[in-house]
Amino acid sequence: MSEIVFDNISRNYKVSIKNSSYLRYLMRREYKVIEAVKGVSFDISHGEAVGMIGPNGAGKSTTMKMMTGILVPSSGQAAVFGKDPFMHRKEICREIGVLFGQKSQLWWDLPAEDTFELLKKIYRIPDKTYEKNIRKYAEVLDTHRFLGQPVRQLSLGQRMRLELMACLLHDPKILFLDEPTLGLDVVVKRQIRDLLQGLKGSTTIILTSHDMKDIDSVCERLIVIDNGLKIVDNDIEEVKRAYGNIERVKIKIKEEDNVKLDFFPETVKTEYKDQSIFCSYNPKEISSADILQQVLGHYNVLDISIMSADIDDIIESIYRSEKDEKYV
Amino acid sequence: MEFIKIYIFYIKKFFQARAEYRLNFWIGILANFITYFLAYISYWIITGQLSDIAGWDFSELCLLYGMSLLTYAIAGTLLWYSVYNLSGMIIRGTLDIFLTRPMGILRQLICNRFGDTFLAQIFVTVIFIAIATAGRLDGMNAWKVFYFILAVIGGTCIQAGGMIAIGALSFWTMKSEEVGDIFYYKLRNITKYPLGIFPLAVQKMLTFILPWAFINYYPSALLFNKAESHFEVICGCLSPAIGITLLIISVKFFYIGLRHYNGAGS
Amino acid sequence: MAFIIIAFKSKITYRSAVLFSVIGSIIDIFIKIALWAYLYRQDKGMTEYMVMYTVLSSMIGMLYVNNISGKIGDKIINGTIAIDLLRPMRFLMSSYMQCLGEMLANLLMKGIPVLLVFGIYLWRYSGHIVYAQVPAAIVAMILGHILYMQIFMMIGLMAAVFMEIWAFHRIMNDIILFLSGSFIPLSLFPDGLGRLNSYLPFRFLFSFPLELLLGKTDLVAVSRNFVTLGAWIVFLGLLIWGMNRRMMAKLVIQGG
Repeated sequence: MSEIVFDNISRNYKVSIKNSSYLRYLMRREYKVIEAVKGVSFDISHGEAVGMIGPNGAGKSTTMKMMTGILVPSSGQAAVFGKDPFMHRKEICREIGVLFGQKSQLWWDLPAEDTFELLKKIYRIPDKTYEKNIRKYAEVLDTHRFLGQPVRQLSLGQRMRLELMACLLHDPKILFLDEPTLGLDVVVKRQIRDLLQGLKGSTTIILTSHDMKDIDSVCERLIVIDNGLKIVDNDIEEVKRAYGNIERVKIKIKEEDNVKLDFFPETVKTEYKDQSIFCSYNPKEISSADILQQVLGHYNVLDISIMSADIDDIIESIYRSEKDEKYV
Repeated sequence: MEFIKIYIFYIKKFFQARAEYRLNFWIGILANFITYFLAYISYWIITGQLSDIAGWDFSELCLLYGMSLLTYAIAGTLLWYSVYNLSGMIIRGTLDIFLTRPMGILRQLICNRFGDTFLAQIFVTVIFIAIATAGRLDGMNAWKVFYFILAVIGGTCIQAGGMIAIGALSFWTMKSEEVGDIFYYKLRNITKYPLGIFPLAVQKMLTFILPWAFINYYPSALLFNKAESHFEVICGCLSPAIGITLLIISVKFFYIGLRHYNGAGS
Repeated sequence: MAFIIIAFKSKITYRSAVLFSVIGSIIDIFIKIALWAYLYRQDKGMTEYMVMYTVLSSMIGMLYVNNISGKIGDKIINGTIAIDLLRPMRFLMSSYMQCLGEMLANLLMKGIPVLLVFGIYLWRYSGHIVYAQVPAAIVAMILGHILYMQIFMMIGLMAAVFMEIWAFHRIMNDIILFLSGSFIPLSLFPDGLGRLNSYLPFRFLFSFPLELLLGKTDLVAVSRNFVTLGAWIVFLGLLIWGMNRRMMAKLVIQGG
């Protein structure tokens, strides 16, 4: 049975338009209706790891808020564990964990371990489970050292790891993560990704991120939301294949000062970094051999390697092509 | 009740964390103490140099003001920092976090920040009420004490209701603090003095529209046999009940606001 | 100079906040008037006097904007003071200019409505005003403004030592409201308290200008008071200068 079901969900909200005249503003309120989410549907089963991406303002956060019972859909049916997330908020909350990258779960003045104890009482976590989870997650996320320090003294990376611990203590069935790696360094990101990979299968994961490597390493399924519409809902590998009309080639050249790359056709994206020319192109339009030939004509080539499609490029092309086509 | 256990646990942890800032805590207490101490002294000067205020002498005024302050301080300790500043929480997104936890929102707000600075007001008031009643022990009896306790509970409910209602306005407008300042603080200030010195219209307003008079005036009037009419006696007796009713209405209003937030946000 | 204009403009744009603030002030004044009207209900002259006292007191209060302590305090805590360290007077002055701008905006947006509402009283009871002493009263108010600013500047400077100064600000504010005669005229104070108060500078903030406006006093007493007021201002000025120097020395040693 599906764990999360969204059936033709739409979400509108009103924004008041400020008139230039204060008096008129007091008298008559004028509103503009914004459709944040338009008719989005999907099914998610237990244990799936789904990445939800889209440009800023596309409606991802709104969608996530509707899944967690924070917002009510304007139309359509939402069901989590078969129940409406808003009407059955308290029951559902016991089984889900939510991490908003920019908002904090932890009490600001208290040390994290005190917050955890408070959460233990709020979620009614049994002692054994609590001890086990604290030990396990503190180990994986390496947070032992600062569990006793007041949260306001900690760095962002430390805090984010503690936030993640906070959502996992009660063994939630579904974990919602909204930009969990925002502003974190590579090491911490790796720790978080490892943890999430370990949870796959036993916990459903819904992940939003602007860092595509997060999505790529953790999720098997990809939902793309743009402009309130769901434009992609597929396995990540399928998406790569379908939209994988992008190849990347790395050509190492002899050191030059002034590298001009304007001899390539417009559809080829180029970049010069670390003594190498990177090209992204559509292999149906132009072959790697052609590219190489172009470069040979202008520079001294030392090495060449063909790389698999970069997921960033794929996503970018999805955003761009969506402007011309409809859904997948 | 489970919630009370959680709250007590939170208070313990709060003070443990606060221990680092012991100096600031005590200075804050001192500041609050001085503010309200001066308020009582004002009554003392006026009644000492001039006359009673509408027939209320210093000790009676102490109780009048004391009830207002005590109920405010108790309600404030529980709620003020969270509920009165709800708009701040909405902006910071903390409210959304609360919505993802399996506990009532108002309860979470209470457990979010303990109003430690209000403890000073409770302290000052206890001192002055003690002074006030010390000279009047003859009129005391068990019923009066019992009624006093009920009236304080009722008054606290009204104060809490006021804070919750003002906070709930944040669900609709960002201007809740300014509105609250007028309707809750400024107009409630009128109850610093016995209602008798104000025009009838004002008295009616504080009884039927913004029921602040039920916090301290009617109960005190009843306790000191100063009720000026049958109507006032009835009001006095009903104060605790009215208090609880108002709190219930306020909480319902809060949840209506919350529903609006769920429906109107983005 | 630019500071004044910027602060002035920014205050003017908060229209609804000002509206509510005006209503709040009006309510406060009404409460006080009701109290005095009751207390002096047998004595019409005194009632009128107290009404005038209350309204004028409130208007004088608009000359006193006290968030300079916050401004200075914040600058010290944020470290932005490091930029102004080169010219210390400049840093105090710029904070002051901002406050001046806010005060002017406040006077305009709050003072005028309050004046409109209570102008009737002022006009009807104007017999109580001693016109000959009005110029002296105005001088007293200006000096009172300086004194007030000095007090709160000092509190702001304490941020260099205490970090959190909101408590001091609050305590000073309440003490001033009480001891300056802004609410209860000092003549009503019991002897002991009155005598103590005469050694403190707070009476110059409200009681002194109000006495000048509303009660005939002889020249000798007035001059003596002005001299005392002047002495306080000089004294506080020296204190501030001293605090400033110590603070600068402290900051320079700590490396900002």
